[in-house]
Amino acid sequence: MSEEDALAEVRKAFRQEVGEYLDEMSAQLISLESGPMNETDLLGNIFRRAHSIKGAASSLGMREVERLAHGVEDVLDGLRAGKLKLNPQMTDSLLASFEALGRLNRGEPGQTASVEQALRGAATVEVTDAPSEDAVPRPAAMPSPGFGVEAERPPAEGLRIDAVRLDELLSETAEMVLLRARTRARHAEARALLELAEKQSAWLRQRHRQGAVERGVDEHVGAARKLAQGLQALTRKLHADAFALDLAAEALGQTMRELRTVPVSSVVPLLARAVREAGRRCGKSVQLWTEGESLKVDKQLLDAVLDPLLHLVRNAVDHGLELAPERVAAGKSKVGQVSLQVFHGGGRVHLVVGDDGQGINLAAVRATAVQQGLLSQADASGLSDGEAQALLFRPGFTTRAAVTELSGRGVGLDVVASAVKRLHGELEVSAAPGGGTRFELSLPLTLATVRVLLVRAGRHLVALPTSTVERLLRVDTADLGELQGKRVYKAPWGSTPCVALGELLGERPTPEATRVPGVVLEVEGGRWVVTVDEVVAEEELVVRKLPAPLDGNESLSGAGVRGDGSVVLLLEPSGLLQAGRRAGTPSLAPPGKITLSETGESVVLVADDSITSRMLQSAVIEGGGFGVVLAEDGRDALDKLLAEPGRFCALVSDVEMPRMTGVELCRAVRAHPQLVNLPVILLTSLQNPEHRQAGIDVGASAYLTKQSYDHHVLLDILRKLS
Amino acid sequence: MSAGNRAIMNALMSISPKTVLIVEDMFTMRIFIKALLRPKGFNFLEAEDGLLALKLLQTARPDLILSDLEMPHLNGLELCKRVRAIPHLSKVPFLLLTGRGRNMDRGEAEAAGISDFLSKPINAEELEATVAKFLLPAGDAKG
Repeated sequence: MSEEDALAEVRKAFRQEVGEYLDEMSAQLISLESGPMNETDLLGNIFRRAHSIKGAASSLGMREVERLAHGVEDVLDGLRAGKLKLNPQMTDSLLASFEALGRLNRGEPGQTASVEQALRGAATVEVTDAPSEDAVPRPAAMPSPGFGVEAERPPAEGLRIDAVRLDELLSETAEMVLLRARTRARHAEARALLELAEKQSAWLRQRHRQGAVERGVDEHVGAARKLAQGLQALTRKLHADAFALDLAAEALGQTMRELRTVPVSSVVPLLARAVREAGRRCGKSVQLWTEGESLKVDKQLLDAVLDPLLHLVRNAVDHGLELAPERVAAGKSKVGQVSLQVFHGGGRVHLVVGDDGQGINLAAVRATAVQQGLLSQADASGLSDGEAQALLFRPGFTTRAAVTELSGRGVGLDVVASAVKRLHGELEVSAAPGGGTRFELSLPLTLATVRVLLVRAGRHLVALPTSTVERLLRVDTADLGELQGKRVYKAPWGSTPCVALGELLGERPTPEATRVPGVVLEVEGGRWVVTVDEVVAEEELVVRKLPAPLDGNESLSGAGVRGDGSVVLLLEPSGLLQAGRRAGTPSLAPPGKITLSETGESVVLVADDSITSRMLQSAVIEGGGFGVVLAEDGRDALDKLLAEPGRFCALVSDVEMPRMTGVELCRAVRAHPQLVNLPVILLTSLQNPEHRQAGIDVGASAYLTKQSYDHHVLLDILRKLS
Repeated sequence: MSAGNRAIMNALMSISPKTVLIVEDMFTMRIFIKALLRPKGFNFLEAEDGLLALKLLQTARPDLILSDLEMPHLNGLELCKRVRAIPHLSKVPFLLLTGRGRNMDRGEAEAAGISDFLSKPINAEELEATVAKFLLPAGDAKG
């Protein structure tokens, strides 16, 4: 490692560690404010952290950080020695300086002069005995605060691992899960062979017994028996291997998931700060209580859910809690309570944000809906409480008359709801027992796998996340009708918008059966019925990000890899329907349409019998600036090449195809005088050395495995070759 | 020591590198110190605080201990006193890292068994020279 690398590593470590320190310091300072417990320990710890930051910053030559940390250290030293007494202004200026330190640490621009001045001011204030007005008395019968000093923290013998490395490891683990599924498939294949061999052997034995003895037959009978026995042993061993691999993959996956987990408490300081800030701005005294925050969840998931959580706690302070006089009048404590409860259940993690405020005023919700023109007066009064609550998640909905600085900016709970949906989670609102409101988020334990429903429409096999599937039903085509030019399904619960998946995917409408499977999707509070040709299975899919040109498609949330190694596209129902609303009819713009080379652009011929692969490849290649012509198999490709030999700049072909394989196609291309120099790239789903050799033997220019997913490589090769 | 002997000593040094125990609660400072000393070919042991260092010292035998003063659980001075009470560690060089502006009673520190002091901000040359003074053969401190 060069000296520069070493220093870069030190700075990176500094940024991370100081970030952690500052979060901890803020949390401890806030808990100091809410009660005098452990004051000495807390102050000592905050002081020591500031001191450490100062020392490290000075060693690394970070003068600004050093100076500011020094200012913080001085104030804390005064507090520790009893020369100063903590008051709200001092807490504010300390918190502000922690934030300024955080900004400096992250390299963000900003002024620190005013912060430093405030600190100096705080440090020179003398101790007075007047009790601070805002000091919140600690309620007697309250659960312990959810965060605070970890004075008794056992010495952790840890190792820091880059999150990126962990992600890589996880995806390698996913490969193992796939291997496990493949081994299972091999086992099934072996069993099928065994059955065949046993049948053969039995038939031969019978013939043998029946006296149809010809010369050499007994030899064959013996061989057939040996074959069956051998296969039986092999099948047994494969079964044992598949089982062992199962256990190993399971254990590895479990450990990996645990490695990636962090306790929810790691974001509690941020939530506490948000609650405090919100309280200060609305003039409300608030306390945040947490329960079960030691529960560990996937770090990626926690990062993704942080914004929704921040929104919910601010919302609780702003909309949920009453002002102090109203609280007192209602017989409640002056200090409002916001809580975060975390627990496991049903294979999901539940995060509940609650408050002890006034609850949701459903009358106001109904009135606002009428006022905003969403519903008629009659419809509004007819709404059930649940339906009225669901209105809260509509875009732009707010009952707050004046838009406050905090949470009534017209960006409301709908943002939370859609963020939660993106994470394949659910959000529910209910009245908390004893008054107040309760928002419950339930999320999958990890983002790496998604439970999906596999459905088929025409030749397409696609996956729908089960979190959006409300139910499955048989749709009688007689119940399909039109309403204002749009197709609806007259369901028992009322007319529901209905689309055929095949049409979304650009398939030609098939002669409709009288009863077809229908999937009821619940998206953004509304129901859609999607008819399909077949509901194939419910599976847990390992989801990967889509390659570059496709990753911006709102209708797709990724590609799932199935046990047999095949790839299915994972549809994002909300994006799909949004795209549909804009375009009139929902459509997953099929990227596989033939592009003509009118402007003399380079055209690549893509041959693949899998429609999904064709779609992916043509999108990637088009994204790279090439034109694309598609062929369904080797024979089709050859016909297209022979029709216009000079048109194509390269051929990208699958190896395993019906009618004519990629290898055969390549051989035919090389035998043709006008095509002998055409670059040919063979793609295969499996890294098979025999295939590779066969491909090279017949003159392929390059040979790639599909599963590598690195489409940049494909584009690079295409650019070099053509 | 003759030039030839020094060469032999240096050769021996490269065969059996010296081990430095770094006791410091801040991860950043530990890797910073390691980055500065690594070119000298040392081995490193690390502990986050005094208690962990003592635990490590039940089995490890470093050639030098470099400890921060301010640490949770057991500070640098207390650590030094306990280290000196362990028979085979009574003579191991113990360097104390102190922040600027902290009042340090040098007499008390020396009585506790501190061999030498290093100040924060860490100065690369000072660190190297002080460590070399205790670990490298005499006359080779700059080598």
